[in-house]
Amino acid sequence: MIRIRRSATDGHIDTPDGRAHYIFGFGNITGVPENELVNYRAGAELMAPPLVLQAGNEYIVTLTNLGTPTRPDLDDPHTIHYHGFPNQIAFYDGVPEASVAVPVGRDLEYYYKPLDPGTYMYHCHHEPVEHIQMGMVGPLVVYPIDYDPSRQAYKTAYGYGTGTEFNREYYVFLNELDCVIHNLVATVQEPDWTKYKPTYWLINGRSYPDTIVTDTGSRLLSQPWPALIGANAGEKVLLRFVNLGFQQQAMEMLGVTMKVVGMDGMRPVGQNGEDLSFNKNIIYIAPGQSYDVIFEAPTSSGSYPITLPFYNRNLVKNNLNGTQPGGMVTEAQIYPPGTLPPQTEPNRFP
Amino acid sequence: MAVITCNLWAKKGRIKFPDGVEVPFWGFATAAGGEPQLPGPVITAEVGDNIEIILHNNLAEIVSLVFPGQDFIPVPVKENGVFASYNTPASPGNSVTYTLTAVRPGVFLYESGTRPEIQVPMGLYGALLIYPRGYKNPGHADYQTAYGNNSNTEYDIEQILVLSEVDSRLNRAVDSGNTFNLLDFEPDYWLVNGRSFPFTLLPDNMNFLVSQTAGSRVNAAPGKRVLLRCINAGVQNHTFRCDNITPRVVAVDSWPLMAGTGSIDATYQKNTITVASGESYDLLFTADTLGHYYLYDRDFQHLCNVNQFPGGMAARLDVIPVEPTEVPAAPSNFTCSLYCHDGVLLHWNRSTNAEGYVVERRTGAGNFETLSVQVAPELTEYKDNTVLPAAGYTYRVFAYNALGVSNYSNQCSLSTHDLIAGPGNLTCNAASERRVDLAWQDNAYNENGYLVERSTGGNDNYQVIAGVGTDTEFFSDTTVQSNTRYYYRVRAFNSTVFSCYSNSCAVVTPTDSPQAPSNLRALHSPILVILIWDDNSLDEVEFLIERKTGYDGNYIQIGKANKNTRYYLDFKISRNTTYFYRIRAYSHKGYSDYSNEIRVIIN
Amino acid sequence: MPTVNLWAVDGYISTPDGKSIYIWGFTDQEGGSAQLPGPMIIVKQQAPPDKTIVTVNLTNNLPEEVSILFPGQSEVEVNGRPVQPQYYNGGLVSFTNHVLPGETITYTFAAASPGTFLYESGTRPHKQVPMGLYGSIIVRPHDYMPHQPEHKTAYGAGTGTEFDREYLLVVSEIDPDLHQAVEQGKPYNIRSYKPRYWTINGRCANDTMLPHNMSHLPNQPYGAMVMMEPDEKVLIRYTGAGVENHPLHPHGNHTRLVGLDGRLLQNRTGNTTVDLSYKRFTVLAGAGQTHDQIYTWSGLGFDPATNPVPTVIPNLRNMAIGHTGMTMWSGSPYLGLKGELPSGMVSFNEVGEYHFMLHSHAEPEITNWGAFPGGMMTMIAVYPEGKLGHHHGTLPVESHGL
Repeated sequence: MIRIRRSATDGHIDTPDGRAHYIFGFGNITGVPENELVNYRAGAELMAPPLVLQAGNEYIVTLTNLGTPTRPDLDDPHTIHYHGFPNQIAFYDGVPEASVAVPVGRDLEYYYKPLDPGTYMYHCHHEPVEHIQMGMVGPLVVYPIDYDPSRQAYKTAYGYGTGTEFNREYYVFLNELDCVIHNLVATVQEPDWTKYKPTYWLINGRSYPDTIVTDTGSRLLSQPWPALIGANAGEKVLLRFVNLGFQQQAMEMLGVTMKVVGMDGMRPVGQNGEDLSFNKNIIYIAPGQSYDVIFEAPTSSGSYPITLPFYNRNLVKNNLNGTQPGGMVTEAQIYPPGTLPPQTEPNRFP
Repeated sequence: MAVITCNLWAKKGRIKFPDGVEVPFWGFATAAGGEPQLPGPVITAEVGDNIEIILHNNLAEIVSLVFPGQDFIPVPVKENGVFASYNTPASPGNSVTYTLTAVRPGVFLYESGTRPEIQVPMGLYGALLIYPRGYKNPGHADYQTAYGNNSNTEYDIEQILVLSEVDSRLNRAVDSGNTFNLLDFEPDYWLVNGRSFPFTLLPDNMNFLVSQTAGSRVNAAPGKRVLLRCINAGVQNHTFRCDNITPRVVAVDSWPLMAGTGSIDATYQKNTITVASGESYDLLFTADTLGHYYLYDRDFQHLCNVNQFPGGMAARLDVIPVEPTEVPAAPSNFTCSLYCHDGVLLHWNRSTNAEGYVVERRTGAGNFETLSVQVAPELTEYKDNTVLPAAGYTYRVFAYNALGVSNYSNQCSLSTHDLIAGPGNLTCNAASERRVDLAWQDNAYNENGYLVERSTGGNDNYQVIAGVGTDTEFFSDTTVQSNTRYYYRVRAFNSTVFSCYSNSCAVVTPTDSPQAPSNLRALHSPILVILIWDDNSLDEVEFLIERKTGYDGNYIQIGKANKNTRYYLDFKISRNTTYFYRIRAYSHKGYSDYSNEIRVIIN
Repeated sequence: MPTVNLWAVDGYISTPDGKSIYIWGFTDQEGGSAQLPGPMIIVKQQAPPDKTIVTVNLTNNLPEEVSILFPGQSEVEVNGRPVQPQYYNGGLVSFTNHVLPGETITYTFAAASPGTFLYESGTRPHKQVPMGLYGSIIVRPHDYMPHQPEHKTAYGAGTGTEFDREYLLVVSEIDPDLHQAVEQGKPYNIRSYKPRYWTINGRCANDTMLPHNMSHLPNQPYGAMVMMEPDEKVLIRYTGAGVENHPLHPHGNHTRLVGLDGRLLQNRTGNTTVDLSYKRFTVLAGAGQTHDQIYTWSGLGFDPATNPVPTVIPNLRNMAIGHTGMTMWSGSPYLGLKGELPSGMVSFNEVGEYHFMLHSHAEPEITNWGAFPGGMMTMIAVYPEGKLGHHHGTLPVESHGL
């Protein structure tokens, strides 16, 4: 039984225009002693610390509600909803109206024994309109039961023999931020959710050009994940797309062919075992959906590194509160074969 | 393997919409002095060809091209650590050459990679079509297929449909060198192949749409296999619907769903498909029954020109018995006449080979402007309600089909004199048995007044019953009888001419409540009082007799008299009593007033 | 051959925040008020080679022309001739044959494919469809037999589309400004379309979770609660009647998409069958599109005696339960059991069933004008085996007379 612990609290994130925005979110407090939990208040991260699981293992994920120091008046409970878990029972599903939610200062244990590998997501389901927009969202990855990164044939998204081998993997976690609403929530006012109008578009919690920043200094402390992709020519790169915003997005990477090998944590396979994986130029992804995409890093006939722009084809969203550049834009950097060392953890580059 | 060379000039131009609005845009031209196109010119190649595109920049900022879906490696340029261009740009006045090899067939976009969030909505995009090598060679296995043999993509007729939008405020701001806040982006026009409906139905190369050369109407005879190649160059998603057709999706993003021998057939049928920004869908079906089939955006807001329906993102498939082999003949017998003095009625004869017509109008000595696009060959009439009074107009019409346009018809000119707008929304209400109130809407500004006409004999046989003055919108007719059906209509007039009539309205006046009986008097003896009165009512049911005993008593009803009777005998009296009497009439309409009251003293 | 009589009329619908909204819609009762969505039309195909000709008589009691489009159907005709777009003064006024106020038009079509379909107005559709002139058609395969499991299918025996229960969910949006403008005869700018309410079967949550034919919702007769037992196959039919796309996410499991726009996701050539069905946990129910999918739930095998849940159940007095004092939870983690809830909590749980939310994941859409909960949200209720009446999730073989 593997134990993981997440906090529910608040915090702030940075956008490249120098502004800070109030968020709610999850933090990683696995292994933190009880008397040190208080230090993790206001430690929310966007995207939330990924839940990284493996099929066949058993997990207890404890959610601890550390409260919201910037809003001491707020006593909202929180939950964890493991979005898409097949055959889940209501008690572990995280919907307050159908089970329990965690008030400030309390814990709840969620039990998961995932059987299905793939890219999933988790988020709070208390007043989801507010809590999801405020940032209580993160990726959840399940490795196949036979996953073994030291052997290429077993370093896969869906298991040996499924055609989903990869060399490196990256999260492409998408959401948007309406800074007017975040400010209303910070100042104890009630937003009209039908007036939702995003001003920032984020990958892994960051807007371009922060998406390609790896040396953050004192900024981006609550957004520890860049969205920069790196690979050696010829390598297979797995992109785990998750959309936990409120808008549909259309993501495009120049210079590669994207092959969809998973949708919503399931391989596209017909009832007779037909392999229905398919190529795409645009990943059109709606809120609550995920895609597993593998592309082969191209080889250059000229110089290296190759830089491949990777951006939202709903082009007008590529802005920073109306100015440019900004938005769901990043890049993939491709090096000669053998240059980059193997990835030690997902989404890490260099 | 051929080398396909294509020179493109990025320059400013103007595009036109069916509401008459012109909007600046940036597009690609095929000649240094040529007009830029929206979308840019179609670049065509075969698998294996080397494509060389030379981009000449006639704009005031840097521009570049990227080729999504192609086997090419972009060479982005950065400034201060952020992208200045996704691919090698050309600075203003200079050129840049791109080379790529066509590796796989399909429909693709080429589009600006510099500030694309501005330059693509401005119009810097076009389609790139790559065909299998043998697609033109009868006998070759890949002949007339989109994706080669064994891909389920054989076709007879192919039509590219490039979907996009325009936010005219963004275009005007950017074209003048001003900034535009992308958070305010809200398109007001939606386009197929660079035009908005109904211009989408006109043929290629319309002389008044010099920068929008591509139509998007498809002709096919029954039994022909039609391949619609939809690609979304816009920044919004669009839901493409084919009315009354269920096509088969044979490729998505130019990846065929049946990729050659030995692969499974993953093609599927769908009649309404959401095409996201940058996506493409190849749709195949066999034309069947004759008729018009609209192809349009089921996101209904995009079916408008600004906010006028129909418009925007709509094209059409016409299944016709025989595809035309020549342009139509000019329409003959073109006539124009004032109708009802509200407008001008135009009429012409249907011309052979026509699939529609365009009516043009010139005011005075001005230029001819497009007035109406008639979207079917049998629509040989048009009412122009936008004419002003005391103006001279000249009209002409030409026919069009898929191959092009006819010569102009004869011209027809007239002048509208003192045109006067007719009244509308006439209502009539019976206020009482003796009064009908009329109300209408005064639409004219140059009337001297309105004439009211009435008929009792059905919706004709009208006679003028009254005239009222300028700006009047009501009239009370107090010359009506009760229980009668009347019809009314109204028209405006001035010193020279009448307007059209309003709608007519009908009303039935109610029956009268009865008139009160009068001159009540009595003859009496100690055992009998005889009441006598005058009967003034026409349709009473009966008369009601009331009596009061003594000065302080209350009236009670003591009896009734039949209709048309003028007397009543009261036997139930006592000596030494004073009685008071009053009567009234009763009908289905109610009670009349009371008659006079009388006093009878019995000694 | 089925004949359906429809009237295009007006009426009012209710939202849970107390609004009464004027609509245009269809009814199949002469003199009736509009219902939202329009009446469900269910027909069963004739055995081949006979065609299934459906007749729809539409009488127009609205103040302007209306019509009906039948996407996905074949041989749509009026008076024996294929329907055609209608033109006036040279321009397009309707995508199909339409009928004047006070008059009646008769459409016929051949229901050539089983599946789920939309019907909607084709006249000024940018106004009339959002006003409510839409509904759904279910076509059953010719071999459909509700009491034989291998013949109780969406697309025919042997297509892998067997089901135990079925539910129809028609989704759309409401912009109250549009409805008010039409009610008062005022102009409305279609570009400013801004929904404030989102509906499943014409209702906003929590009305979506109430049964059919609620007396306080006389013009919104269809509930949207999905009820099932473990291991059953539930056919959930989405119909996207709005002008926007909605990402619908059921908790508790993936669904397997088996049909799109009334066409089976299978290709048959000779003896080979290629199955194209696929699983998703969020389906983008697109504007004008339909999705047929199968949902099942088997649970995780927990049992209080033999396989208890392996976590510590906290003292419920220390936890937050439900919303504003009400919950759908039974108080127990086990299916079929009820636990003790803190006093003051009101539970709507009946027999220890589980509830899984099914909702739009574009979360502003699960509000009523911005107030959560509301909008495009319902529940899947999994009842302990044997505890759910057979009539739940049962739709008639056919809806209107032969």
